[in-house]
Amino acid sequence: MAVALEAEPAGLVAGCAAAAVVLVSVALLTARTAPIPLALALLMGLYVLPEGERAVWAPLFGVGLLLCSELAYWSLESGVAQRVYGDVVTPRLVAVAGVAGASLPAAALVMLAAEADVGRSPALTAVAALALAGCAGLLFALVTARASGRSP
Amino acid sequence: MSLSASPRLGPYTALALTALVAALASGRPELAALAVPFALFVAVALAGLAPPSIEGSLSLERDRVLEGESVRAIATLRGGAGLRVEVHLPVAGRVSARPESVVLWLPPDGRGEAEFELAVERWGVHPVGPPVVRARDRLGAFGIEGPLGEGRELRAYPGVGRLRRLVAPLRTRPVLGSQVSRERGEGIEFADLRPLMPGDRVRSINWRATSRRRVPYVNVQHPEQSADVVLFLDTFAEAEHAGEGTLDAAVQAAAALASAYLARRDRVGAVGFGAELRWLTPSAGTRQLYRIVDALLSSDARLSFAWRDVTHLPRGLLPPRALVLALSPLLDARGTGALLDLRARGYDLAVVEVSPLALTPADVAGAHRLPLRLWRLQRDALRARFEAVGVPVARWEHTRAPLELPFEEVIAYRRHARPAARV
Repeated sequence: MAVALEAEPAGLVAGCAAAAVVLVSVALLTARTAPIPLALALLMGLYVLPEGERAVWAPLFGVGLLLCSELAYWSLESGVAQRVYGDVVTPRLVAVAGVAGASLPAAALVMLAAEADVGRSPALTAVAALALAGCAGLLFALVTARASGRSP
Repeated sequence: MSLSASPRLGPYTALALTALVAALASGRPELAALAVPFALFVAVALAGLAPPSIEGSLSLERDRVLEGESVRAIATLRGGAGLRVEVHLPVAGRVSARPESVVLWLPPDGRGEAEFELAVERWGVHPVGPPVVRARDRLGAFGIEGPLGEGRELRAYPGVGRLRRLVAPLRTRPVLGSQVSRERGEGIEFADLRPLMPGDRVRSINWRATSRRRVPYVNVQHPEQSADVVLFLDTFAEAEHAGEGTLDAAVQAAAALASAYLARRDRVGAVGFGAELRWLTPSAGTRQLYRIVDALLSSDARLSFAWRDVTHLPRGLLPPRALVLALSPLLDARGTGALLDLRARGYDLAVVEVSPLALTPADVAGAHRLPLRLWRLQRDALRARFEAVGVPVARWEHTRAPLELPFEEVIAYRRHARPAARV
């Protein structure tokens, strides 16, 4: 919870942060993954709900959330006592770090685009909704391709 | 092998889509920025190649071991380049695999090996594997899971104890062996003197007796012959506690007896009488030892009500002059009935009672005191019933006494008490 927020209701922020920490702890102690998405949603809301300037930028906060979540899931996966041959950690660490590193400029681009001086209009909202539907469609296509066993 | 997705892909997708919709609805671009890492993660995971199928096999360093020994098992993997693979080796209850699972990263050539140490705690035929493989891609987003090749069988033989003295059969076969026969004929062991008869060899004349009695006398010897020995294993019931059971002890004793009698050039057979009737006709030689031990491996005490009243072994199963050595916990009336029936048919029988008493709770003052006492009295009565028909019953407390002890008892009994010829 290294996120410093300049939010007004400090008690609410601290309470939400504590709840998120409790949820992740419960997930790790009970070896169940279900509480982790709840903690993520809570932390996302924690960042967005209070108005005001943020000391930590949204792209950095998002990447931090992803890394924390990956760490939590990874901890749950490797809970069984076992023998490990060679370095099995580095390849996955590099892959996750690569995704996190690539998402940082992408999220920054989103924020920059949001700063552009264009008025909000129904047409632009429709375009954004279409783009969102396109994203969802792309994800659906990828999932379908994976389920059918083909590489996309 | 089945393909599965990581449980985090669903929540990541839901979080990203919810955040994007909320950003659009509320006009808060921060939400979209927060969604980007999760959306990108899901997209990269989905765009990557599906984990390829992994092939391989399981090999055992040896497929025959003695109980208590360890053996190496190697799972060879092929075809999963760049995957993080977890190999788990399922084994039967009395075999433990160390480690339980092995994790390795398959190199670009897709070949790897996972090594396990199997410790065999008990004799028997133990199924090993097939290994179960779980492989995940670099992000750990998708995985495949399934068995690798086929399983193997590990045959664990019971440890064979050494017996210095064996129960001598009352009757032997007219075949050269190591057993001093009760018959009279050509041999080494002196038996008696008798007057010279036509056909006797001159070298068998006892000159000292001849000079004393002034009539030619010849020595008569006991010939060295072999015998038929049948090991009777009562598998109707067993008593077991904390991994130690009467059947384990009986099988180990049977293996030791078979080894010792076969070493003396006797013919040895085996009968397993329980839920199933299994038998091996008597034969001699090392090969017969392996046959008997293999047959013993499949011995298992199972509760069965199929043969409620069967106490009779088929005629012809046992050679008529065989010594029957029974190893029984004397827990089931069918097993004891069959033994009494054998004695009634004139077989030379000795019973080693693999005692279940040591496996009963030591509840001398509690509620079980009276039932335990009654049960012991019943067993004493059963033993007396055997002894009344000339069958020695030697109790073997297998948890604390060596195997030789009950056989010494049987030998002593047979030396001092002449068994009744027929009941």
